[in-house]
Amino acid sequence: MSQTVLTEVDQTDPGGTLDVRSSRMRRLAVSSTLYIGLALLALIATFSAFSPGAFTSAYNVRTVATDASVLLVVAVGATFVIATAGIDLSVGGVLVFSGVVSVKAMDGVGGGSGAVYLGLLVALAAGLGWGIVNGLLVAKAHVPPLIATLGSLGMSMGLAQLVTDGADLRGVPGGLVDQLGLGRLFGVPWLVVIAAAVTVVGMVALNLNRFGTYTLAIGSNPVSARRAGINVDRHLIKVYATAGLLAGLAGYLNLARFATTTIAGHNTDNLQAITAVVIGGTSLFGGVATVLGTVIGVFIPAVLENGFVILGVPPFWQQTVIGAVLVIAVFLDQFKRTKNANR
Amino acid sequence: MRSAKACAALSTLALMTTAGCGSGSTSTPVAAGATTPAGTTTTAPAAPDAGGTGTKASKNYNITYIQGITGNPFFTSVTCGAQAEAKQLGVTFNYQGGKDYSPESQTPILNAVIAKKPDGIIISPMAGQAMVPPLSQAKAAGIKTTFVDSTAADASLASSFVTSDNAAGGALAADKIGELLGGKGKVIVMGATPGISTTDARQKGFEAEIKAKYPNVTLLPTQFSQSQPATATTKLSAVIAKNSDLGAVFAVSTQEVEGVSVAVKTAGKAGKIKIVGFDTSDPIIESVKAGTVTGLVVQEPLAMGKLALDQLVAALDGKPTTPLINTPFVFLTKDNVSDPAVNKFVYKTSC
Repeated sequence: MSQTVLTEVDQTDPGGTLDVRSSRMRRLAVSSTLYIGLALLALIATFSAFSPGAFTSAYNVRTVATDASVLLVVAVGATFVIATAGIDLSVGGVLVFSGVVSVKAMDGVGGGSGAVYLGLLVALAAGLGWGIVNGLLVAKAHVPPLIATLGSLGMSMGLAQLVTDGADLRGVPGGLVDQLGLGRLFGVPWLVVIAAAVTVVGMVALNLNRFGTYTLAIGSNPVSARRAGINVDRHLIKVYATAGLLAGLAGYLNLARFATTTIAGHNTDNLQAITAVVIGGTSLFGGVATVLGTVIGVFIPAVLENGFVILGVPPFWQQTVIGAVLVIAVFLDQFKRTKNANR
Repeated sequence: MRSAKACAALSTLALMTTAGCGSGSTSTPVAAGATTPAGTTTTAPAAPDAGGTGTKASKNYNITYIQGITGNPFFTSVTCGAQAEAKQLGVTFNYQGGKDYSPESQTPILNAVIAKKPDGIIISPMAGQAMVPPLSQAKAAGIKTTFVDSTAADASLASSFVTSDNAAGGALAADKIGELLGGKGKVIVMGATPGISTTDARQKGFEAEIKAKYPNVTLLPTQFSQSQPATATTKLSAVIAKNSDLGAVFAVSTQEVEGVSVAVKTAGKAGKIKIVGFDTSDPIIESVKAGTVTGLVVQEPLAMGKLALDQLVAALDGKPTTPLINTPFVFLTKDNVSDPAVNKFVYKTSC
């Protein structure tokens, strides 16, 4: 199954109403991912037909995948947060902050091969730290996730700008850029490999692991989840911490790709991540989630943008048409979902 | 009950904190004004000495500079130039700035500064028409103003406007690229966010010069990065997929230079696809030294700050001012980056 819904909590519901709802939701979930996947394939087929040499070239496939990797890592984290009926607006700021402290650390020890590992640890720690702050605000202080993560977006971005005076830093070790940013593993860019690995771990965690089950339970019905014995507060903190950790990793990957911190370029990361998650079929109301859907949701806008440039669609038309195609793709998906629900 | 009240209190506190600090940059920053073509041949006349350079001001005036945005090396350099000159002339100087390139961010700052009643304001307006009302209020309050880098729709609101001729900068970049390509090949402009006057002027200046002087150079349709490096990378990668014989890219500001460098390196064509950019930043200077970026058109923000302050003090002293001053460019390449005559143009991140 590519999408997971609640099944284990059914044992506490003797009436069986949850059971019916969960299997119906499972059918909807499967069909949802299938249809949005077909939409992506249709787009790829159309662009390939119109521009066979350029669109389908190995170079183009590699660059589209590489360009999507950083967002995909962030979006996997966002999937879990949204599955709990929460939201994380802080990803852009945490990404930038993690990148900044990572560069400062690597530069501080004078570059070199050991510094690269130190930089990774620092980036992950920074991301994890902000994630825990978000989790504590949401779970313990009961600040609504929208406000809590909006606050940490401001704080993390602001702190990053304080440290750097707003100017992008140099000092990213050349080895990191050459080997991780530009390097490949058997022809596949390392950035894509890492994003794929994160996606697989995310899928396993969501579908085959208690972590995912608890996440969906909390998103579906937090009161029932608590009564079923799940420590909701602790789990929420873990979920937001995971999202923060992945944002920190994304910050490090961003350093490897751009050889600098790109402070000014991450203001809409949160919106892009949420868009990808929602296009993929995860419900903003929680309880239904799919990591495979998130992957498709990341690639649909990426393919659209790439295809339109290759086809030579004028830039102002690009934005218009991408917006329209997104709405159509999700509409068709929702249409099928409603049809299934009324059967 | 108690937890609901606590929740409400915490939410309000969080909201106030967020409102106060700003929720990060919500709009895509535009590296406007920060990009000036760097050319070794100075195309614009050097700013004339407009009364007041070196001579002390007649009073210790209170002057505030409102930057385009904070934390941008270009505007920081303008500030440093103005600050140094303020010390020379014996006037009090401070500065403020918004967090993104928009009149929505700049107007509250301008209003707050007007409320403090300084003697003079230097400003880099973030919109031509939208900034006219608050600037008119400044004029009505008797505050003298000069514009730096960008201007407002009503030029009479300021005693002087100090800027680089961005269109000329774009044309300079076009000439350099024409030379690099030997007069023929494919070229593309990576634009920023359409509607920002400075980057628009650079793009148009470049396109006009290519069409006029280099008929054998093919100009591909301009792409826009929306001022985000990652978007510049994605768009240029797609263009390279379609045009594997692309010869050169003109990147209109620092964000675009950072983005297209990555695209060119990923395609394995660093050095083969020539990149000419606008404005500098630390990572970009490294790219120039590494050979990924061929050259940069660099403005003179330090001089712009100094001249703007001179003009403002002259206006306050009742002396005549020059309505328009164009500052020159420098074309920075790997060969001259260490040359102190060129190096002094490199933008600062702090004074």
